[in-house]
Amino acid sequence: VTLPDRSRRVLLGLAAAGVIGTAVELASLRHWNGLLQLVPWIALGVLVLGIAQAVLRPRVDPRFVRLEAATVVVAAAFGSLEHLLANLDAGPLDFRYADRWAGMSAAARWWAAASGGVGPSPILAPLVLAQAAACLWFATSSDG
Amino acid sequence: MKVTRLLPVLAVACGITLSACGGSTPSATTATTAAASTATSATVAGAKVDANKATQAELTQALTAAGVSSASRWAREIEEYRPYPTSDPSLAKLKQNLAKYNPSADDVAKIISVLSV
Repeated sequence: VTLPDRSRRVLLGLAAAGVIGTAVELASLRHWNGLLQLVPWIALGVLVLGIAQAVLRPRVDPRFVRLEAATVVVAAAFGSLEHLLANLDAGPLDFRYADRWAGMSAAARWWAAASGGVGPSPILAPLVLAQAAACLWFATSSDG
Repeated sequence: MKVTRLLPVLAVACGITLSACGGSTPSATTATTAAASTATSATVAGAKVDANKATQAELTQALTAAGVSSASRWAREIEEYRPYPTSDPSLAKLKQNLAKYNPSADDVAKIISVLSV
């Protein structure tokens, strides 16, 4: 096994671990209430497809795999933004903020939503998908 | 070779991202737990609405009548977490999901008091 091959395998392994971990996490959270919550499941499907294609390197154009990885990165960024907006929307529901939410500055609200101070959605969690996609991207980056 | 140099960076990124994913649930769930025990004692004017079948407008109306703040927003949440099992008249599933928003015990008690399954 040459070093590049080993690196490639490590990267694909990290991507696969990210996919499995994210799937377990999403399932435990029952992340399927409505269409928006299905986006990460679709992204996981794309990642599984990309990893499978990367493993079958001789048969698949690596540019196609990287396009899939890029699509997942976009989906992950969308998820992160969506979580931020959901937290922002949940501000008035939190009893610690209910009375003063309307009077808070926009910056203070955004900070509360982004820092985990208010709302149920983890802002950075969707980026696990981007990380797995990055692994997939770099695993195929020397393929042409 | 470029990929090899990137491995340590990716490993660090893995660690940061995984650590960022934990502990996202608001910690003040005790308020909601307390609400569960007082839900049945809440006195609310107006009839109960079916948690599984009521429209969002009906839910909003019932919650407003019960004096729940941000009634329309809570109505959306009730609708989102459907269905509620009929074997769970205390609406434990709903309480568990509402707890994620860190509501006041009073609001939870009022919300539960206007719902039936």
